[in-house]
Amino acid sequence: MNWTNFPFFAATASILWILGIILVNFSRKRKTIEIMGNILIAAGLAVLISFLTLLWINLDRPPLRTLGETRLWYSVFLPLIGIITFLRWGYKWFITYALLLAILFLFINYMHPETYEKTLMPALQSPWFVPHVIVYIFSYALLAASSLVAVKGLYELYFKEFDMNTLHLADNLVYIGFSFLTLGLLFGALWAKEAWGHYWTWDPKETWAFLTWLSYLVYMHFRTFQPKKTKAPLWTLSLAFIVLLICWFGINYLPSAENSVHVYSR
Amino acid sequence: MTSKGTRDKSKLQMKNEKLKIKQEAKATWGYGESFVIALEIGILGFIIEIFLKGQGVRSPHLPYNLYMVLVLVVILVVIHLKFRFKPVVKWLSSIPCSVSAISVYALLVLLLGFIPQQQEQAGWLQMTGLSHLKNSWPFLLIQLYLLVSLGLVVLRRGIPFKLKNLGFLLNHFGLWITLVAAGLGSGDLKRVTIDLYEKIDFSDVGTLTDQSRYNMPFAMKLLDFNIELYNPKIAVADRNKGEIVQKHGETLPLISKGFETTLIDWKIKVKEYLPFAVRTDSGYTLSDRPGSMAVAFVETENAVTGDKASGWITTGSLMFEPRFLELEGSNLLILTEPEPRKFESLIVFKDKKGLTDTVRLEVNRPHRFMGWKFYQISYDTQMGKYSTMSGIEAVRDPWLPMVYTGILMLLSGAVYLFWLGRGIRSE
Repeated sequence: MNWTNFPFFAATASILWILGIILVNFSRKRKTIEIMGNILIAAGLAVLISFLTLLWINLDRPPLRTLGETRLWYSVFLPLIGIITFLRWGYKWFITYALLLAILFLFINYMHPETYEKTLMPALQSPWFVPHVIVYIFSYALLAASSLVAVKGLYELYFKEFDMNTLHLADNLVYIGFSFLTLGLLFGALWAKEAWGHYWTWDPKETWAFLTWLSYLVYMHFRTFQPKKTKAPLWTLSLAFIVLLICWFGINYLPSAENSVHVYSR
Repeated sequence: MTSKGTRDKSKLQMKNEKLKIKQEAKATWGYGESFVIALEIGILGFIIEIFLKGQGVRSPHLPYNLYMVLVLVVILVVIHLKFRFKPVVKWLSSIPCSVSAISVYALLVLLLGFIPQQQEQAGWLQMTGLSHLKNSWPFLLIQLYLLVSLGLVVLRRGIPFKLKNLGFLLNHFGLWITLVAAGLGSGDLKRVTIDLYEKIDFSDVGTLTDQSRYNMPFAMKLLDFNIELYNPKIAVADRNKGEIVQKHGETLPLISKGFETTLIDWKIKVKEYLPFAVRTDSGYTLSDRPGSMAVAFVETENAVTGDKASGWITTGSLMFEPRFLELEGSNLLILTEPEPRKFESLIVFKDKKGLTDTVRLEVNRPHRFMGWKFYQISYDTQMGKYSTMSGIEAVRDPWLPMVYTGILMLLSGAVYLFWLGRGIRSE
């Protein structure tokens, strides 16, 4: 099992998800159709999880090192969050967008396929490796979901009628996403102390991770103090996501990043 | 008094009270004022930096940094106990103030993320402190602004202590402790790089981060350096571009004897593989000593043209040039430098009394000795497998326990936030 099998798994998952989206959205209140849609979505997720598991076993190391590998986890977590959100709060538009975003990531991976890298440098051979990266990916997925909600909120605000529940959903996602973001940041610091000798060296990734953390911190404080305001928090949330994206992908292109340990290997 | 009169009077009372609350709210500053003040503090910092010709500012070492922490705590406690009802103090512990502090702090961190940070750099970047932001006056002043606001918030919510505020305090006080310990503790942080060589006797000299010499209160001797490498990989390279060529979705496989694969248009068979060999008149022989290299005998067939080629490819070493196999076009089949899987050093530590400690140092497995912590960082990559040099880093950080306390509080606070997030009601 390696990346050459990926297109098959990705296509299968995507087809299952598209069928699921159609059923869920056009169920016309018939519960059975909705449930069938959910089952298809869960099946698509299962397909992707099995690919991930087999890849892990075959690589002999956790598939968490390259950009493509992290995108794969993203494509697993985003639908998972979508399913849970749908079961908990019933937002159809949310699971639809979450799945479409996941399909987009699968497509990006298809267009930029991976090298089958068995090597793992000594610095990455640590019990911190898996928790640090997984917690971060999960947090990114949640915060991306919150930005989807923010965009929807802005659309409602400018073109339709704004529903306060949208901001409440965003809050829920941000609170949980931020708690995982904090864990990821601190796990990184604790790991750095074991591996490099210091817990914080203002490495570009660390700096941008800190900036991401501060951005969502501003959002949370703003929401606490002025819960009735809508425009400012929605825009803050959207901007915070841009900072997150720069942290995730953008630093590879910054001049200061060349010697960073966090630049994903090719 | 008639009942109607009572009702009217209480209505008037309520109106007066509402007006009073509104006035009080207006008495503390809002976002506009907070941001202006925060920016002014930042600008003041830059002015000081320029006035001092871009020298920057560093944290003092013990005991002065400890005195500063204590002074800060005392000031904050006194402000809280005696002046907390004053409008200025109320504003300092308000959200507009904290949001402005966080935002301007984030602005400085943003600059830190964009502008390459170097110590010595002539020109206006140095003069304004932009090239050494984390040791600059604007950074210091904004951090202080943030710590004052954060500290007052902690005191306001923490005194008297109520269990329902536990999560809040873990997060806010935890952050305060971490920032103070990391910031002021940096004055006592020592990071020393030590290059140890096999067969050399005890050494107590290292290099600090500013490249100056440092005599350590202990000595070290390298008994053995050991490294395990992954096998090298085979790849197709373009002779003219000087880089590896890869087809969409293809892999750079690890080599082994009998291995077969396809790279781009070529089918490749590895007939022979020697992980360490030297070149002799009759070919290559296994030889595990400095100067040896990985060699492989490969047979290739171009799937398109049917052309065949075969020969030896090597990684090369200090003694031998690498060898490639020429393929069609301007392509070559090459063997890449093997990557490290694990490297470690067997080291003897000796303190001033002569007591020794023999330890195996590995990446991600540091060792503690005499209040210092030692890390396996590097080796002579040119010699690779036969490196007789081991690069060690020794770190001393007396403020670490305080940093860890803050981090532990933040971790607990994050878990609390997770539970809270699950419970936010929707309307």
